[in-house]
Amino acid sequence: MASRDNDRVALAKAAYSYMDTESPNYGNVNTFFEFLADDVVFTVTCSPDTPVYGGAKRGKAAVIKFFTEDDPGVLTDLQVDGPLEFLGAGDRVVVLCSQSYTIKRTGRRIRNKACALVVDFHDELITRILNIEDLSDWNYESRRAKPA
Amino acid sequence: MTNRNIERARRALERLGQQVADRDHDAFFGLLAGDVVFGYSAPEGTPVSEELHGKQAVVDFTTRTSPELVEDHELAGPLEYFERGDRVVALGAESYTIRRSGVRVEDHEFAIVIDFRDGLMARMLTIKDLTDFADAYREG
Repeated sequence: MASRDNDRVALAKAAYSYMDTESPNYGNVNTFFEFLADDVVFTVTCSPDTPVYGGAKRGKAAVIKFFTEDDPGVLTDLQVDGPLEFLGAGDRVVVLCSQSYTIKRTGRRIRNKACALVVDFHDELITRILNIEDLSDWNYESRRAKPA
Repeated sequence: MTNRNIERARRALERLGQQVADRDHDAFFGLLAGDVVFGYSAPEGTPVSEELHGKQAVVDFTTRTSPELVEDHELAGPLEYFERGDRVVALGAESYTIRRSGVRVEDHEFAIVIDFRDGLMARMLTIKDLTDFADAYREG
């Protein structure tokens, strides 16, 4: 069991190397896409009616669209704060991270937002990602009137 | 040492599955380090935005403040635990009612990150979406 846990952690580290500031892959999200199963499901912990982030993204194409168009369309200056941490058990790996980013619409900078990514593997591919994160700042800013 | 911290975390967090009024907090309080740091991934301007420092602060929050903020807390099943060194992560989903707004939060996933030191919880961070809570309690 320990060997399997370590294998999954190694896969997760490779998949999320684009978020590792010390990796040569840092910033290259295409590396991450290579690990996605065709039927992958990506969900963020928020109400389904949350702009951009609400509702599950189903299938590899939808997840790629989210990471290449939807998310960058509303956030900028994304920064990973410190090293990622990986904890694995069976086919599931939890990735702990902290991020800072600017909400384009209002220019507000959100700092040091803790995040737990729950990543499920099957046959060495990622089949499910649950992004556990507080989205209250995003929800608040997305409802505010755009600054003049 | 392998999995011992998971068992400690399990003892501390099993109270979450109980109704607030019936909870036996002793297991949880007994596992807090004297200088524990306790917090939530919360935005600014809410009753849970600032970290709590020290065991008494956590006791006071658990027994007095929290029951005034939320009620009818339920877990949607057993917690799932992960361990690496002195760190344990517990995953779960919960439902609760926000007292000020009456909004019922249903089956929201959370992650509790616990750092152990000498068998006691030295740091606890709960990561979850707090949009409904912030909407009800945000200052200004």
